[in-house]
Amino acid sequence: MKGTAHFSATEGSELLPAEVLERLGSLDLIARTIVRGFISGAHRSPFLGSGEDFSRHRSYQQGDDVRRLDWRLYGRTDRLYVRLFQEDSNLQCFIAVDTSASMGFVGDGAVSKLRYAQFIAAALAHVMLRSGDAPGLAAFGADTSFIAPPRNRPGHLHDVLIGLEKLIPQGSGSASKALDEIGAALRRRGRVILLSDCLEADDGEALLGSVGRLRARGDEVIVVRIATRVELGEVATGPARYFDPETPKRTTPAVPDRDDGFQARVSAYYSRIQVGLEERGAEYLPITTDQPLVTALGAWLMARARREALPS
Amino acid sequence: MPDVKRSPRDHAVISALFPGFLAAGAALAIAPILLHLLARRPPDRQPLPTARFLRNDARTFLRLQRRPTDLVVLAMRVLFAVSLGAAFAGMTWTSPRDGRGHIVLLDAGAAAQADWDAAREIAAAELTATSSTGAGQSVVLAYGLDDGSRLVAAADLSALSRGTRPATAEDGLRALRSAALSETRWQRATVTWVTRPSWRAWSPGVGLLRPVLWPGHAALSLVPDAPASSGSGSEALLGAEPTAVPSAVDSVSMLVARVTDGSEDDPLWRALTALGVTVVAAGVPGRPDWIFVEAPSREVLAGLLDEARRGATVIASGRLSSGADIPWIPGGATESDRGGVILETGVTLYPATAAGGTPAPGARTVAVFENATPAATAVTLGEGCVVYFAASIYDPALSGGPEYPNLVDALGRACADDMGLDAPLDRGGLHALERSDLPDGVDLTEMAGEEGRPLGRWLILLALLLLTAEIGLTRVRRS
Repeated sequence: MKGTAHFSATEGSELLPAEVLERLGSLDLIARTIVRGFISGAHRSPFLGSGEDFSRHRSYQQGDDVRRLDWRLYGRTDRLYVRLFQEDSNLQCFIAVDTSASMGFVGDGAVSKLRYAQFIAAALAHVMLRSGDAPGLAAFGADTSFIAPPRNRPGHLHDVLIGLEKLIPQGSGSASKALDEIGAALRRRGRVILLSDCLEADDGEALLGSVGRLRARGDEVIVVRIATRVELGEVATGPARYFDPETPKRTTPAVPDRDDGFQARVSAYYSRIQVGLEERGAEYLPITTDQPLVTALGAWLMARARREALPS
Repeated sequence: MPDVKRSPRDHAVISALFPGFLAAGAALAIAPILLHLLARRPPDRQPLPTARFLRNDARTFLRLQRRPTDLVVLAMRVLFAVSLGAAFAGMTWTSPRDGRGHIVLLDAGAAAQADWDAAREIAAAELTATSSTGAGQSVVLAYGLDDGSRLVAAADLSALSRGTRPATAEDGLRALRSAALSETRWQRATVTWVTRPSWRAWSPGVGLLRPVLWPGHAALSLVPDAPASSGSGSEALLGAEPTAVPSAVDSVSMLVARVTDGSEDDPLWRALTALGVTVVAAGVPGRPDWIFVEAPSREVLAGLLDEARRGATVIASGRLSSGADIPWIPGGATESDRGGVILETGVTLYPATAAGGTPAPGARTVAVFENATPAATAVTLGEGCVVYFAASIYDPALSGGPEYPNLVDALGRACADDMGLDAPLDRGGLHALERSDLPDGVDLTEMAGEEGRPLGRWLILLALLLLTAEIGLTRVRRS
């Protein structure tokens, strides 16, 4: 029995909107709050892989698969330990955060897309470190910068959070280039989590190409698309000269309220991205900034844990 | 040429009768301005990362862009409020005036000009005389014509025909005011009045109207009665020295006067005695020629009027009740600042406390106060006469003076004088028309300011137009 993966968000905390989290202050506290929201009822860590080579023991933590408990050791020491295998303990992860100017857009949300991405990155880093993985942090705007290399040691979360806090939205960049550089930085198979609005200048063709290359070498790719409902055309906005923050000189006089095709065109774009990613075996998680983080992230992690619990 | 100083109001003047409404309109105009400032407007530039998916819709954008239209609508709303307030404020517009001029006011009425040729010659001479002084432009304004009044060119003066109906002094004054304000653009004007004023030209209340219609001196240039008559010009009538107390003793020695009030010690009694009039007290039988009564009641006056119809002259004075056959309409507050009493002989008596009221229609003026309001009026009644003196005949200010018997005599002879309507005005009447106590020139800018062109209807029309345009523009914008 692979075990039943079951996440149940703590009552109340799952409804915490971004503006409430923002008031908590430090990213560390925010990350813990988010994680406590969706991990408290979990029976299985969502990020544990399976390997053949035993690496070491680790104290049992809530969410660990009970199949990995070392019963013999329990018999000798009367304490619970889980067995960690080579892949589980050393899985290198990169959280790639899009810091281009468009991520500074707030829209109808309480925080900007970048701030929302920071929350997610902090929470995921927290979860991955708990799972024994080695999260790293990269950011890309005009250029790609590797802020924290993938590590799993005490204090690494602090480095990641400090790096996240320093991110500011500016410039215009390509996720494709960043993914290629991250792929080159990973010494072996790993996991890449892309936090971006996925608004690419070439309609995402290069992005899909890069994702395909990462997948071809066996990396796991998760694309978390962060957008606001204003951008998606789901919230009415009046007439103005609109401009993309990454190309501010080019304005479009328009009335989104009266542009019936606007929402459909945006939707079609993201659908193409989603289909392209899924065709390449990447995960696609669309999130809007008005969603409570615990709900948005928890649901996905629960589904992921359930999927991994199924026999392959 | 005299130096003409430009008045500070030597420009167009817009004035308001009720400035409060203007302030209210201005306050009302603040409302749309506040709404405009407080209303949310779309920012001109808006960031939107998915802007590339927007359709370039410049037409809709421009139509919905509120600010340019808002400014026009806002201006209309503000102007509407202000114009509405201004309309109710009684705004008037007075056009700018400059320079000075002289008006020769020519009486062209049928009855006024005994010698029409002489009148035209005098007018032409006045025109020439004033033009040669360089005191500005001169014009002739003829009134009493069949077609009313008009400015007459010097060349046309000889061919000017007089009217077929008599004109009154009031007609002349109204024509003068109207022409000065509407026919000329002068800032200041002087007047010479060419006329032969008779009682026919006199109308009740003209003395009161005179300074209102023309608040300045009008030099009278009097036309002789007939070509053969001696003397012309104002000197003929105005220049004569006041006559001495007439030798009434000779002429009225047969008269009997009844004094209903007072006794032998009263000034009136003594004055009558000095005039040689036999004075009898009330209740003495007989038919007196003159009956003096002070502040009679309605019943007493009715009885006296019956005596007047039988040939007596009733001289009432002081406070009076209104009634028929009385040459006076009582009313208004008692005034004491009208100055002394001027008789037609030119005699001026000390100021008396005047009673309120105006002469009755058809009454002739016997004496005037120094401010040109009638002091005594008379009307014939049956075979007699009713005279009213608009002050107390026992007023110590009058009776204490040496000229008091003249007043008593003038009142007693008010209807006995052989003066028909065509007889020339007495000195008091002429003074009332000439008003030498007033300044020479009249400030037409100031006078016009009192009756500037009313802008009310134009402002209301403007407000309605603005309202219509605002409604139309708003609907177009919303569609």
